[in-house]
Amino acid sequence: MEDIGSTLTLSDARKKLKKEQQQLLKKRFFSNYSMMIGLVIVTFLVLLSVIGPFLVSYGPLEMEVNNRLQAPNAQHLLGTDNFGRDLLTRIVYGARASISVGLSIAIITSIVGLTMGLYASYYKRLDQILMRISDGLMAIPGILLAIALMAALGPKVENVIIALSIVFTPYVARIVRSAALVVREQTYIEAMKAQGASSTRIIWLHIAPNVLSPLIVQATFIFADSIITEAALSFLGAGIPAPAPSWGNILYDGKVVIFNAWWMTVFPGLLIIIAVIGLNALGDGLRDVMDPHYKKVKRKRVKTAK
Amino acid sequence: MKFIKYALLLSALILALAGCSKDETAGADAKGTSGGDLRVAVPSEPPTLDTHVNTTTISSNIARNIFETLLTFDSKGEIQPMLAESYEEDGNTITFKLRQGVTFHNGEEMKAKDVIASMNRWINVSGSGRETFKGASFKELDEYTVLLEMEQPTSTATLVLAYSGGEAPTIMPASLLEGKDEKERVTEYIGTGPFQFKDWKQNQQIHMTKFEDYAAREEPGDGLAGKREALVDNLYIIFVPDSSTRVAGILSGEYDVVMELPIDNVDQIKASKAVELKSVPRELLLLYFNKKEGLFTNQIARDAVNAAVKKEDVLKAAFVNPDYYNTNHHVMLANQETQWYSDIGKDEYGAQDIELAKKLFEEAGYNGEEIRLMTSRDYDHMYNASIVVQEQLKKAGVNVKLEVYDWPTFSERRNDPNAFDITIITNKGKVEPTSLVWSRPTYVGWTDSEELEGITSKIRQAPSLEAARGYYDELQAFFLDYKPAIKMGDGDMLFAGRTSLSQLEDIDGLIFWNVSNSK
Amino acid sequence: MWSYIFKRLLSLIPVLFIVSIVIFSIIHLTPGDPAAFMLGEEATAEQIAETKARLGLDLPIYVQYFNWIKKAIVGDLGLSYHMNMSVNEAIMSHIGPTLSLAILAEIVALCIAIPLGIIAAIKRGTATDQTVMGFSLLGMAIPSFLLALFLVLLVGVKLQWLPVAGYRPLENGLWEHIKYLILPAISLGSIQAALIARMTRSSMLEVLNTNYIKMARAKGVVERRIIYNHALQNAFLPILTVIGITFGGLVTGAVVTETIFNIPGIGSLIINSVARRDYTVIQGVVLFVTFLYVILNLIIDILYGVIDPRVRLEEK
Repeated sequence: MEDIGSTLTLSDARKKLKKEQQQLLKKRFFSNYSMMIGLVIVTFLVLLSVIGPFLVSYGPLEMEVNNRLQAPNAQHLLGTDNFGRDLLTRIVYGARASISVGLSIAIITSIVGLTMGLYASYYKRLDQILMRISDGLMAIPGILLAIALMAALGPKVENVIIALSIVFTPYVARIVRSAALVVREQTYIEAMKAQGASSTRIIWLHIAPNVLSPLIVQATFIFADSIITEAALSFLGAGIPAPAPSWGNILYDGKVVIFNAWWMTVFPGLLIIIAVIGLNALGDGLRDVMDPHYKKVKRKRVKTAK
Repeated sequence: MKFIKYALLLSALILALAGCSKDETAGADAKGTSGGDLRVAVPSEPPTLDTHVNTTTISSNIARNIFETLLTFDSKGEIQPMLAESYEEDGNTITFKLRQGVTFHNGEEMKAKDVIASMNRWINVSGSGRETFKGASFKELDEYTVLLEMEQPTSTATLVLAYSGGEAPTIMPASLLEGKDEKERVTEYIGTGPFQFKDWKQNQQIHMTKFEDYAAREEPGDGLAGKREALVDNLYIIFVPDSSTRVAGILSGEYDVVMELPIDNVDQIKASKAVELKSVPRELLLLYFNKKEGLFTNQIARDAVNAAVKKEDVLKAAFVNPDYYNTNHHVMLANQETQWYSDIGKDEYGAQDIELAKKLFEEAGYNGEEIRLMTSRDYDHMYNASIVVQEQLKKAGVNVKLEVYDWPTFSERRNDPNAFDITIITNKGKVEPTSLVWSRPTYVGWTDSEELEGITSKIRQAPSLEAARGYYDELQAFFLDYKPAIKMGDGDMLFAGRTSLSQLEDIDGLIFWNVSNSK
Repeated sequence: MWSYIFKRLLSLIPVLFIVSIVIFSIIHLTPGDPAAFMLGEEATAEQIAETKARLGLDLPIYVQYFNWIKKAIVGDLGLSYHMNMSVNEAIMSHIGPTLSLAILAEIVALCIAIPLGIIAAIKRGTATDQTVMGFSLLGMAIPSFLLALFLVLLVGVKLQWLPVAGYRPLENGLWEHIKYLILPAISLGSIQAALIARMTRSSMLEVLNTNYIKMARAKGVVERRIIYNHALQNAFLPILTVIGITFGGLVTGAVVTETIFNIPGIGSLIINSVARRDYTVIQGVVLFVTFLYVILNLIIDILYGVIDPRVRLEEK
């Protein structure tokens, strides 16, 4: 019903596909493990980014030009990069960058998306405007939009967060909106309206709590997608500006010397994969726990860097 | 019914497949085999091969296989006639006798009117034309004789006319230029060179073929001068922006020649018996000051930076291996020293004095404000050097912020006096010192000095090149004293060729004629 | 059904309109100067200003937008600043490699995924099943650019089996053509493979549980026949759908993959054009890709309705 006229809503075919994926993941066997694996990995990453910098013995920008491109050894456990900087140090600081960028984006998109989705579900006119804009933004392939936005905003960490928030917010808004539309039709909301409750009160006190679980689940997936997309952007030279350490930046530097320094590609690459698996597992687990009726909510993900 | 639907889907898929394959076979052309091919991998794609309107080196490097110039250089750096039969300098005029029987790729013979149309356009639209030949113009004396009239005698005129490393003064048919806006790019590439333009697949390659009716000079080939002969049937210039791909390609034999190799890959290339690695001094690594706005309008602050940096470390970060850089103190390239040399400043080159730097910064009134060091990651040399300069200036107590932009943003911001304080750029070497870009008042850093103008006119208006060279010391002394920029040294361009090539030489760019490929 | 298609097409108009405004404003707010790039590293400020005026870049931005969209509506996307061709020509000359890559990636995905999916379904619940599904999870988690880097490192650099990058048009021979596309196709197709494997497995399971298969089994039909003749045929519909759905993603996913492997397709075109600030090309290509993407979605929806009459297109 709520999907009339929109070009990017999931067609029935797509629903079937997603349902299929979800059914598989629904299996108890998986979900228990999912949650656990996810939690362990995410905790590890958070610890790495918070405590890690205190444990490493070099600075992330500290360079020794004579120690360029050393293979992993006792002094430099993961080797050195093309400036003679310690790779382990840069990866640890990179974790901090990636996690904080991902987390910021997840939080910003959640807040903005929640607001947009709630109000769109409540006011028809606003709905038309917001959803047309969302459709437009979602129609542009995510990575292209991100590249264009980064070129316009300039290479700064804050701008990576802004650009990716713009890319991902419509997806959150849509999910919140469709969940909220269901809630809005409930009798008790009708009743509150009849009693003259203010719309702000209805929206924030009565509708919002009911859309929180799909929102949190979606935020986890956005977290993971942000990490991938940030890495892809930095890898293309359009993300977090060098020389700041980020996983994507290390990969960018590593690409040039891929023939003689495999460690610059392999280690940050593995961490990205671990992070993405962890967050996805956590998201899947969370969904099973928090939202048993998740079939109503479509899990949409931006296929950008993928 | 179901069957029909499957068939429908499948045929859609097959159609898509067929449609795509048809697209690609359409451009197929028969490959010649007799003289073989030469496949050259270059790092970037030029916007055009019209060298009059484009300053990129790569554009001139590719274009000079198709187009030729009136004069050129031999292997010793002496000027030799190319399309001119001979030339004669006399005060503020130069008379060029043109060779007869030289044909363009479209079959027309090259005559005075073509030279006039091309050269006058070049003078009007190119940077170096406007710079050296302000107010000058070419006139026809007869069908095979042209006269260059200049406002004043110019010792460097023939040098600039012979230079084909960037903004080359190439000769095109008048019929191509007539009735067109001068600044509009030429889109048909018709010249007199040993190769003719075949096609250009955007983002892929430029294909040139041997020009059968090429009129070669009789003197034996020497540098860029003398006999030129296309020894291969096909010359492909392939755009490969990724340096590791260029390395892999030359090692596997996919490319016969590669330009601009990363120094990190030297060992791998040296280890291959099928590939020969070469290098040529090409880049001047310069630290530019914004002399229009901010701290570095003050000369003492510039002195302070000079005291704070260790030039060789910067050079090393940019060019890595001492085999491929030159700790050269004077403003021209080290391999030009037979022509241009000055020992002023040689002894101070290695000096670094952090304490002095701190003192000078204080004297210049610096009190901890943010200094913006602008760079671009698209050029490794510049970027790597900037990282080291940032670290060194920090040691001298300067609060340096590195601002990194992509190249197009960088090239816009560097023209904005409010956008940066310091930036490091590699410039290409030039044939003579007054063409060096740091001396232009409109170029990055805005060097505006009457003293410099005086020296420049002395060099340009000297009665002979010999006499002009006498003023080089003066220019060098000015450069070190005024510090419009700080020169870190010279860097090499690394290139490599397969051993199946008969020769591979670089004079202001790689030379692809007189090269045969026995592969 | 026709009215549905018409309605959907109509709803495309505002979307594309918004896309055009969004992308035009982003691009024209971008710092950097196409003229400076065209003229090269040593161009003077004077030369740059002249070129800007010639390209019409000195006009007010809304005038520039209007000039552009007026022509774009009738399919003329303007002239490239940098390349010697129109944007339409640029798109046509770059779409071939992207399509080749996308099709090969789809083929790779199918060749890996369908057999694995069938095996997993047959051996449901066993270690084989779990391994396959584990790989499929992994396949969905690895970003394609990372997979690309790992493949380059392993197959191209260490083993030296395949070229690490580059592109050969089909005219150089089929094997030449494919040789250069194998690594990019694998890295691009892995996510598709993961999805298709899961879909195949579950469709097979669903079909294997139906009464007519049970009936066939009861009749004593050979198991192989059941799987290939009966089950697979019926499980094919959802599989085909996944293929359709993921194909759009392949075309856009090619952006990063093409950059890594130096393939002169649409992705490289757009990345190069951003680097050159070739505004008209960026605008045109993004609009084109978006259009393609949206139309592809529509076609899939329609096809699905045609194939399976149980699917109703009309909305309530």
